[in-house]
Amino acid sequence: MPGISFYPEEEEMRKEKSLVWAVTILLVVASMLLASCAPQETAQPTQPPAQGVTEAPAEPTEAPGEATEAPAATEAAATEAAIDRNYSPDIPEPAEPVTVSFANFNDLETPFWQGMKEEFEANHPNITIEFQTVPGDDMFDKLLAQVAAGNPPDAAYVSDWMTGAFAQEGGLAPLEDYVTKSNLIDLEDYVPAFLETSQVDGVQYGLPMTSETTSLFYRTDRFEEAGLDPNNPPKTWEEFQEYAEKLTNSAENKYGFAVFAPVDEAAYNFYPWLWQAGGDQLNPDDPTDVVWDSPEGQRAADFYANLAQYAPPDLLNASAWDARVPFANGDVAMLMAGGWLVGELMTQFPDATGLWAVAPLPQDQRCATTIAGDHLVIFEGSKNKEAAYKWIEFVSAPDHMIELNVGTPDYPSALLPPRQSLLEDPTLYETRPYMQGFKDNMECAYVPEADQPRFYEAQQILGEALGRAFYGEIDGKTAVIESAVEAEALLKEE
Amino acid sequence: MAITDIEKSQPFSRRMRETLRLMRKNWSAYLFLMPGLIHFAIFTLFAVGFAFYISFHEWNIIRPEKPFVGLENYLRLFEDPRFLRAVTNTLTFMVGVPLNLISGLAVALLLNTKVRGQALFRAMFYLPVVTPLVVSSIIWKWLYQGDYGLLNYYLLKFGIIQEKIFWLADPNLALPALILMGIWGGTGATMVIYLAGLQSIPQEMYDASMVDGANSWQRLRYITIPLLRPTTFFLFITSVIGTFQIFTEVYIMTNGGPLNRTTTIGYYLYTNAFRELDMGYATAMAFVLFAMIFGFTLIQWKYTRGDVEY
Repeated sequence: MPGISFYPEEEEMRKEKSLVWAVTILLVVASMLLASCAPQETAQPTQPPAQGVTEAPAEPTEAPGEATEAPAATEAAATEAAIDRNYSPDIPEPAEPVTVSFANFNDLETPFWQGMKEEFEANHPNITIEFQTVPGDDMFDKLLAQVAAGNPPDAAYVSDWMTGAFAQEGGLAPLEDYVTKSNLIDLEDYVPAFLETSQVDGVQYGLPMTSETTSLFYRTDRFEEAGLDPNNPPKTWEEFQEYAEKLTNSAENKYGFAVFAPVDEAAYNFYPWLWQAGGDQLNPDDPTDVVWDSPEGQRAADFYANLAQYAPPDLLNASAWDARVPFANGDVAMLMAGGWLVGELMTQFPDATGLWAVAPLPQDQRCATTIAGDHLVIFEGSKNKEAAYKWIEFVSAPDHMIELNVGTPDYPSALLPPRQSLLEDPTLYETRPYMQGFKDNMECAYVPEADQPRFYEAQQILGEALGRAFYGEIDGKTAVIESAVEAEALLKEE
Repeated sequence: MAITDIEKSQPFSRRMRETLRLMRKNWSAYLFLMPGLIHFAIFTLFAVGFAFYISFHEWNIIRPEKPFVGLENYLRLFEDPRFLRAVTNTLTFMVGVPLNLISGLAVALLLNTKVRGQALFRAMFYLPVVTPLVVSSIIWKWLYQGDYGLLNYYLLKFGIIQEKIFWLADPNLALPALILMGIWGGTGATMVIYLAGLQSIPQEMYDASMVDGANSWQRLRYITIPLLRPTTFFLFITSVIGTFQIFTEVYIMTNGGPLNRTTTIGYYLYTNAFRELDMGYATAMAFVLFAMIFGFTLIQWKYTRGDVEY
């Protein structure tokens, strides 16, 4: 959504991490108390909570390795620089030495960011890059405090929703003047939906660096068991329901799909289906007009709520983050999730390797899915905007963009570059065949147009009603109709 | 006590002088108290006072402007269906209080007799009390799992139920399931205090009643239970206060779900403070919770005062 977006799985991830210590104690206690009588199946939920992709910690022993890699990168850069690494000669280099501060929630010790810094500084002798690592959870709060205090960093690498949030408050520098002078940045080349998230009221505030789409993860082994073709995932709603039914055998704890009833999860996971049916949340011409109760919306809600019968009841009151474990174990055969799940599966559940694949979500009237991505931005309060721009432009050069999105074995990434010309690059898929599913889903990226600052509150009303529908207290149609009345009253009030 | 009464009759300035004189005289005592007093002043007195101040403001943690809104946060509470739901849920949790007292008393009575392995049993019943609540909540969450939970495993195995029961995932069962777990967790603490109470009942009472021909039920009904009234009163008040503040189980096991059926005041307060970042509303809720606890305790104090006449 424009303005504030919400990724429920992040919240869950955060919470679960804070419980790591508890689980450690617990494992000891549990093994003492239950070891003698526990049936073997109970091993299922004892998977230790895992860490997110972007937070894979650098092992101390790797540090020397990185140090030796860095000069090599600089050498390579120096030769390339001789060709042309100054992408915007019309923007003057600083005459005096300046320092550009750069806030980032990525691990800045990774070879990628270290390499960027060295290469850039070699190309721009008067500019020094100063890294500020910010934990992802606190990034928004910290940047907001810095902006409020008039002391922001010059540039930052942020989640797309932060770009919207800061730009609306006037915290970000418009990039128009710089981009027009650039030989590198061609806004036409960016995938439209992702470009849209980097603009507010048509003004460019961010340079999109990464992209991910909510896609369909499915278990190839479960497909085979059920007599379904693992190379032919469901493409329509009808097929999807048929597959979900064939994959469900609740007596054996096997389920076709998973739906989630907590307020934010319920609404967030419903949107792709709503859009696919041809519906939308709000009327773009009148953002106080709730339209999720349209005939399309009613159809989508009925269809989606009906899928709850193929979902494990234990997960109804949970989140996609919680569902990663039963998916990795094969109990849940199909799951909607973003690229974060790839990192989880690869680093925490290596046993499942080769047993899962990724496909676009099924389509109905159109294909549609939710998206997320990260941007490079410059703060309005920066004193070195030109130097800061040269830095973010340099980082978003095509070869760097590919490098960051592909990642390395130590720092796996399941992201794609949001530039159309780069999406065909075979290096993106060589080591990551599952990324093809994400790529096919890119054209389905959907960003609602309506701009409504109180949308989050309205979403709570929708999510609560949908949750009741998943539990069978009301039907999907009733849920969208009733919640639309209530939400509209909220949005129309002064 | 007598000194205080005399002091009260004297003018304030004189009393103040007297206090200062005593402080000078006993300065070393105050020095020893100082670390505790400073800690109390900053982290309790100041924190509570500041929270009271916040409750009259629209206080979003990250937004710099925090306007004064008077009683608005308090008034909002009474129109918020989710808050009223949380109050209802919290009051429903109170069902666990008498059940907990009964189970604690029953276990205490059993362990007050001369059974073999008495110490072992006492330790076993007390173990849940010393287990961190976060840990026991996670264990119970697994026990209650529908597909893989131990509880269903044995219930199905012994034919007590024919189909899986999704304890925590069923909107109508989640709250009773949490109450049941609360009884398991609370029995140990109740038991220990009842045991102490039982020890303080003079043996002569029982001897005399037996001479009069009282059977064991009559001894329990007319001697033990009446003489345990102070203990019961204490346990009742502390359990009610504890129940008002239920948070951890809900946070770990259900997140207030399914469908807000287990959202307690404490949990709803937390979501407002740390997810919606609406500190003004959350602190107002905290003071309403305080008022409720205070009110309930006063009523209990008035009507169930545990004076015992021997």
